[in-house]
Amino acid sequence: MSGFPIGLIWLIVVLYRAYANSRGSEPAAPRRVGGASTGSVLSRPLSIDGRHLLVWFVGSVAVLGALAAARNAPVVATLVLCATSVALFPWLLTRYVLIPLKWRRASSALARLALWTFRHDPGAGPMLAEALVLTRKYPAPEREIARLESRLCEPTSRTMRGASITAHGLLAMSKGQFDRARWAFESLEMLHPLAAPAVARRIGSRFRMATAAASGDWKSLERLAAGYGRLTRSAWFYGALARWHLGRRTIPLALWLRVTWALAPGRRRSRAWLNAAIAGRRTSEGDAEKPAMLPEWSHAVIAPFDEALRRHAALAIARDGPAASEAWRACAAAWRAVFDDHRSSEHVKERGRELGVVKLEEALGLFGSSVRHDLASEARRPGIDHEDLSAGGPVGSWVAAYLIEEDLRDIEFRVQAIEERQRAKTILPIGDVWLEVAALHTKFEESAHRLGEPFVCAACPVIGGVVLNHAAEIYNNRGERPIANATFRWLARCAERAGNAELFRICDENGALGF
Amino acid sequence: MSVVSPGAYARVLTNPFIVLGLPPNASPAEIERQGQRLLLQLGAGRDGAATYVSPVGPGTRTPDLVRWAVDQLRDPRRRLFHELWAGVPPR
Repeated sequence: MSGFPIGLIWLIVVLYRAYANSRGSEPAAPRRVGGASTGSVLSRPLSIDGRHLLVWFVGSVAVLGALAAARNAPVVATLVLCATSVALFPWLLTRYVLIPLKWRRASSALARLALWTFRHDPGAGPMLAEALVLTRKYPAPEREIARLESRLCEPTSRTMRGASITAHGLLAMSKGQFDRARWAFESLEMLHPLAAPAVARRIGSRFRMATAAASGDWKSLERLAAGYGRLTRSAWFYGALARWHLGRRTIPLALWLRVTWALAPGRRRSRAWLNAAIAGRRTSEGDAEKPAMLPEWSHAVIAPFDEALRRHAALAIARDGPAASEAWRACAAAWRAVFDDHRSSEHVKERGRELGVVKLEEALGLFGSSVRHDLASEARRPGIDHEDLSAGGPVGSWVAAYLIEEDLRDIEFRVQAIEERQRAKTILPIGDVWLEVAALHTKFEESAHRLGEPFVCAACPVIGGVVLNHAAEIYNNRGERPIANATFRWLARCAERAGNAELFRICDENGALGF
Repeated sequence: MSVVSPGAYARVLTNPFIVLGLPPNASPAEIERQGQRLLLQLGAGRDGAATYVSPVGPGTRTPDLVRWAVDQLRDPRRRLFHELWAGVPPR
């Protein structure tokens, strides 16, 4: 009788919906989700949550019926149980049995039954399952990649949502296109939660956290893990790993690191990070009393050049993450001391005159410029952010201004490409259209994280108008409402950060239309 | 001479003085002599000549790199630039 309450609940939901819809005599307007007034579970359209409960209702009744009818036939009862378990838990079987076995067709077929798992992206399950199988094949067969790619690109009545985007990202990974994969996975953050199945968001979050861990960007990893704690167990491990590398090395945390590693999926792949962290603890305990050594020059160098050169070399060999951040700050401070020191400047000018250098000031300016360009190039490394640049004094301000200009040029180039295509009315597959916006989103967020509010304020007007029109075109003409809605919501957040009230109002109103 | 940043690592590793294993106050004759000597040693396949020590770790010396280093130090303006990166010695 365990199935009865589920069926009763489902019946109550259906009756409530029928009652709610019948109160007005006029036919209700088509319902949309993701807008400002999404409301509670009970007031959402039945198609979003309710209808998939039917599978469990029918499944439970079938199990109970089979158990009652075939009490004296254990083989029949077992077969019915097996069949109903496939119908009741299709994604569980796909994810943990068929995909690890690399059975592409079976995974695709069973994922088609996973209505509840893909209720926020109906019909995308088979493609996601196939893409997951392909990532497990090394090297991935080109014919299968091409087939899946053409399936993802062909026009359908389905709108593009989280699972399709994740399939694009996984396909890019199989093809070795890391940047494309990153754009796709990071763009999942832009989507409304009701437009992206949890399984897609989970895959995306694991990719992002693994990327941050691989590049040693522990600050970002800590931030990501804090946000994904309720989505995936991996976030617990990555969060502990980030805290560990950020210097909070305690015995309880060491224990927690091991426990979360044991609980997290993909233990074989993350074992290296756990071992490196624990090995790092042993090394740092042994070397705790020794100060960090700076690289040495084989000959004596005039002060304060000696310190600046040693710091420059130390920055070059520092590991990404907190070490790079610390080395960058120290290097910027050391070069500042060189630029402020008139004695060494006179010494260098004298040496220039000895060598017979013409236009000496220009030659020295070139040297200063090379120092700043090196610092700017190093500031792109993971672990160095706008706080480090702010602490770098005039050198840091120059580097920040230079990077803002460079990143803005990149953003402008991408926005122009969208604008030109809009003007030419060129139609691309929706996957490519979305990845173009997703690339812009990734570049913008990355630069905003590194350069802070000045970049956001400068880039918002560049992106604003063109991307807003582009999203409106996607919404109105192509009917791809979930991704258009995601773009409006992202633009609204950018406008809010930049203090652009007009852009915020338009994007907010468009976002409130839902999808 | 344009300002294209190769990054801090390459800047130190490929400094002509460091590549040639000479101090920044080496005379032009010393630079030419060292360049010839290294090219001969590399041509003869002597093991010691193929690597050099730098503040950021060992580097690999090739005939092209040696020729480039000697050529860079022939121009006074470029030489001053590389001297500054190699560390100007006190008088």
